[in-house]
Amino acid sequence: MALLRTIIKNGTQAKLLAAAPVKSWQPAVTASTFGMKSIEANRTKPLTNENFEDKNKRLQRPISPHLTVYKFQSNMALSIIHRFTGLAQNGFIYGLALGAMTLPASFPYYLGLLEAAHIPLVVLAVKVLIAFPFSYHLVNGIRHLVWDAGYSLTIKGVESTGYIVLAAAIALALYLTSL
Amino acid sequence: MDSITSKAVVLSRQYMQLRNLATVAAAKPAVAPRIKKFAVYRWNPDISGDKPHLQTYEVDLNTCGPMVLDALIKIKSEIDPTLTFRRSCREGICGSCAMNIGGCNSLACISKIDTNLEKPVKIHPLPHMYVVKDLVPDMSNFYAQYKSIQPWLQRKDESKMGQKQYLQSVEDRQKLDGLYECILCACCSTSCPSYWWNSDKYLGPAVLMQAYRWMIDSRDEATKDRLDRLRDPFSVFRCHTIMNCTKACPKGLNPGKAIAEIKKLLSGFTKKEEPKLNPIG
Repeated sequence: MALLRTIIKNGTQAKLLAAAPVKSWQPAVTASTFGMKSIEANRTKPLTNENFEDKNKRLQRPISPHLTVYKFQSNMALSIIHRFTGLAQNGFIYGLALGAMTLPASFPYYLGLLEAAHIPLVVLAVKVLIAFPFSYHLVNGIRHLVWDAGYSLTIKGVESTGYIVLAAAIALALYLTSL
Repeated sequence: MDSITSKAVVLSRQYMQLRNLATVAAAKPAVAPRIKKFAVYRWNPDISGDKPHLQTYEVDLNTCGPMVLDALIKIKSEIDPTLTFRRSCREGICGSCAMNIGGCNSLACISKIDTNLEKPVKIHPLPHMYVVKDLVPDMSNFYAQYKSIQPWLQRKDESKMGQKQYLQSVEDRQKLDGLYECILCACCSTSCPSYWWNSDKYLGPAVLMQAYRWMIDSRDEATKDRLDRLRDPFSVFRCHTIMNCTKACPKGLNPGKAIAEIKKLLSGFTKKEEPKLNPIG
């Protein structure tokens, strides 16, 4: 009975639609079939399978300037000095190890040679040159640990801790030199 | 009556003529033009053998709006129509006009022109991006990285999605402040030297901040999956806390802090808190 009623109703609707002069828009998905999967379209697929790198190389596009144009700021400077002092310390250890293995005489002998050359302040300069990477990397390393804990990660925080680190590093380097 | 009205008309007409004369006599003296130089990066793919170069334009600041975008539009409409750049809202909310102005990444529509006439303003596209033309970079990699972090709400049971709103307490909603306002202009990512050297594998501050935004959303239940997707040496850990990103952000947001919080979550140092209000009531 209900089925018959549905057929008659649908039939009437079909007749009305056919009689109507204006085409009515039928949605592809009605409210009852709403669900993410049924509307999944391939709109987000790229038109070709060409990789980003390959496409740009093919079109021979230049890369916009970076180091040559970016304003050199204090936070960038302190960060790159952290990297350089780390590398410098690495270099010192390598030099010490290789020297100890290859050079014939001991370290005090070479230090005596340097002192005997009597170039003013050279021993002091060498001491500062070795102490500063150590002290700067140590103090800035502590700043990095503070950042990793989540503190002081604001523009003001970075700037003020930067000054503290620079001052502390120089002070520690001078103290170590004086020993 | 007639003669009085006609007299009144004549008198008022004479008065208006006198007033006009006075205004003309007191006209403003000619103002000296304030010429500012703009050195703009140019590269045209349609000219074979063209190399990227800086072209200098001169703009009178007296007839130009205060922002760099006003100057660029003036140059394009009056001096050189071939100058190409992206722009839309002119109010710092769409992120289209992001470029490198005077060495720093910002939105051209909210960057005031430096009125010091001695120095030219240098305008470049966002750093270390493939250039489509002039000041327009290829942002497809950036958008693909954003897509890869699945920036939508994910719950374990999505069968009743859209029937009721998911509840969130005021406190939990405040956790999203400073994260949701990102306009994806890419100023931060393209200011990061780590992103310059590793833009294929490192996601960059903008995308990572959005990843964090979805991680700490109390209504989202896919936190573990989101974190697991980032557990490799490159996606997050190329960040060395250089903090150029926070300095560059034109909306005043802090991507550097968001990345530090992701690192804390990844290492297990902190855990995501339980939602204060059950989202499904």
